[in-house]
Amino acid sequence: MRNAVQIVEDDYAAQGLGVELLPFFYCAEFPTLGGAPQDVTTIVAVDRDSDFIWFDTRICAYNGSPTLRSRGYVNLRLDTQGRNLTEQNLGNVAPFGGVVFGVGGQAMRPFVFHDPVVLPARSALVVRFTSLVESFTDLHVAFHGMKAVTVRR
Amino acid sequence: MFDFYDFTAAGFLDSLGDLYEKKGYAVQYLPFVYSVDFFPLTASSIASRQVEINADADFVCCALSYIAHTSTGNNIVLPRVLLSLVIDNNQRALTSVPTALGNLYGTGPRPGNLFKPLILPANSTMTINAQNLDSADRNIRLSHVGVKAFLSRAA
Repeated sequence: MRNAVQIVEDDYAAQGLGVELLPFFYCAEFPTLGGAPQDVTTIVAVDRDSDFIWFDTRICAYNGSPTLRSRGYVNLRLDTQGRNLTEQNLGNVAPFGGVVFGVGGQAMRPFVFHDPVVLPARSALVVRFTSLVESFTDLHVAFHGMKAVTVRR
Repeated sequence: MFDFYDFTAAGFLDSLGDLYEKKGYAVQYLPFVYSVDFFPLTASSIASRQVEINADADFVCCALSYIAHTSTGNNIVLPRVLLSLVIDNNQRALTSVPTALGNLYGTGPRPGNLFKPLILPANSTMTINAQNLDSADRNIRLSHVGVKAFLSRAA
């Protein structure tokens, strides 16, 4: 029985491509939130050299001290090429909405997709962070997965 | 397509073993941990350390874990430290930009698992750049957990 790495390699081979799979983290950084309610957006651009197979999401949030802030409502909205990955209800405590840790844990307990998302090379992921109640000084989001670097056979 | 459960380290090591076999090698895996220390990572500063892979075997890194203390020895959960990791022999970075330590490294009981283990060849190095955003020194040990792949010519 093939394992998942072989499945991915076979998928690309069916398109006439060899593939090298590399662990990678795309990161959305919000380094200066200022300690007040915020509505900020940043764009994560997928490199041109490879597709990105996205497995899980990790978030670290701070209020200036080396501890986590886990109260309050935060909405994290992800768009990829115009497709929303979340509903826009800001008060909804659900994956990708509500308390910031509803959408991502840290490395020790990441928020894992039930089915990985493939972000094509040169695509973009728009990450919007809105804090309604809680005050953060900085927020760090990482999307973990694999780069699929292809070569023509 | 596939389930993330399919990306177990054991499954990957099996397929890696097949690859070595095709090249005429038998492989034996032994658990191993490479660690680097920032003792200390001084306040509001940037420092670099290198993970130096031994000459005897490739290293397959499957998980990342950390431990952090203040200068007086008190444990810290998730210090405000940004990290970037670069494999030196091909200059491949593992992150698009430096990100929080807690996004990359977990703890011993709950390490940060890599869905696709990272292969570091024998004699290679990986550079870790760390930026302390806090106004106090931090003592941090970063551990890279995986297996050494000992190769021998197949009979």
